[in-house]
Amino acid sequence: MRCDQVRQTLEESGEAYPAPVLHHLRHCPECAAYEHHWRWVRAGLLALARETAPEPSLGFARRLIRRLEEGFLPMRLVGEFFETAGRRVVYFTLLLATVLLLAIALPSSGPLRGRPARDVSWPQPEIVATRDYPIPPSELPGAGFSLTSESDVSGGQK
Amino acid sequence: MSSSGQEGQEVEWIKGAQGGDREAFGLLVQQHQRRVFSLVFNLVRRPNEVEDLAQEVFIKAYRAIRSYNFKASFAAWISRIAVNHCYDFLRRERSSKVSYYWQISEDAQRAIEAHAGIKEQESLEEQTAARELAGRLLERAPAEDRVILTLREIEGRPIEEIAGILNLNPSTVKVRLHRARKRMLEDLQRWRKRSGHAM
Repeated sequence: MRCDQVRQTLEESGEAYPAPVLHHLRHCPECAAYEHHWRWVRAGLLALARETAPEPSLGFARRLIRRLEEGFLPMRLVGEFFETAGRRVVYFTLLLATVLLLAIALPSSGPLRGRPARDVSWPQPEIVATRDYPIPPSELPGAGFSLTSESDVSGGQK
Repeated sequence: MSSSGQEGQEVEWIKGAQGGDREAFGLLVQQHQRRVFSLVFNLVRRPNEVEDLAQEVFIKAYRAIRSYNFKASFAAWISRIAVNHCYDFLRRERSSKVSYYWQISEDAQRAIEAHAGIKEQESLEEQTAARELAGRLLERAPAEDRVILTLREIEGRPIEEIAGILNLNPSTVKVRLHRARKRMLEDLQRWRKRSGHAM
């Protein structure tokens, strides 16, 4: 068993440890010291558990109901309410500030603002002329002028 | 009265309280006040604060009773409110208090040193010393460690119940418990090294 497993087991198993834990404790001084300290602290915790809690004072429930009828709210709960409400106001303000900053900082074009007009324009004739496959002479501007013969064009397409 | 009869009556009180019947809620308070007092005392360990805190727990429960859906027992539901309220209280208190043993006042250090040289708890005095040391270690532990250790080691609640109260998986509760115990013992060992004590 690993030291961590042994420690977790001895914390959960009360006074009677399983045999593998006992075997480990005999050979591992660090875990033995851990066990010793834990036993000591647990005895203290058990002693704390034996302390009796104060009893509710006479008429506790009746007083509580009367206060509920009067709409009484203890100061600590009022404070808690303002703490929670205040925290929400701060978070909302931070969120609003972030949105405003983003609105100011983002460019007027881009994916969040839609495509600008220059990005949706059609290809220009010069761009068409630079295509990397042969262009039939009939598509070239200027009548009766040819750069290549018909046979070259058909050969290139093969 | 049988247990199922009690449960049936409790359901009636809860439904009454959900409909705004304060008298029915008063009966629920009477039924659960000892449990809440005990839990609050174990979590906070300040007898003078227990009644005020318990009152706040019940006021919170009254304001939230319409959200109770009968899935868990009413005792578990009110325990969860008490644990959350005490956790908030401890966290607020802790933010204005010392956290580590080297920041404790000289008097408190002397009190712990007087008790820490004991090897085994044999007599009543030694048991008292162990109790005071455990109390001080618990007081210095972070609020979440303190809550989970109290529920398990002092209240003796099963892992599944703690998981229900803290809204965690049972395996997560086991891991957190182990870490909390480990941190507590590390705190004790750091102090021992510093003061040169053996236990």
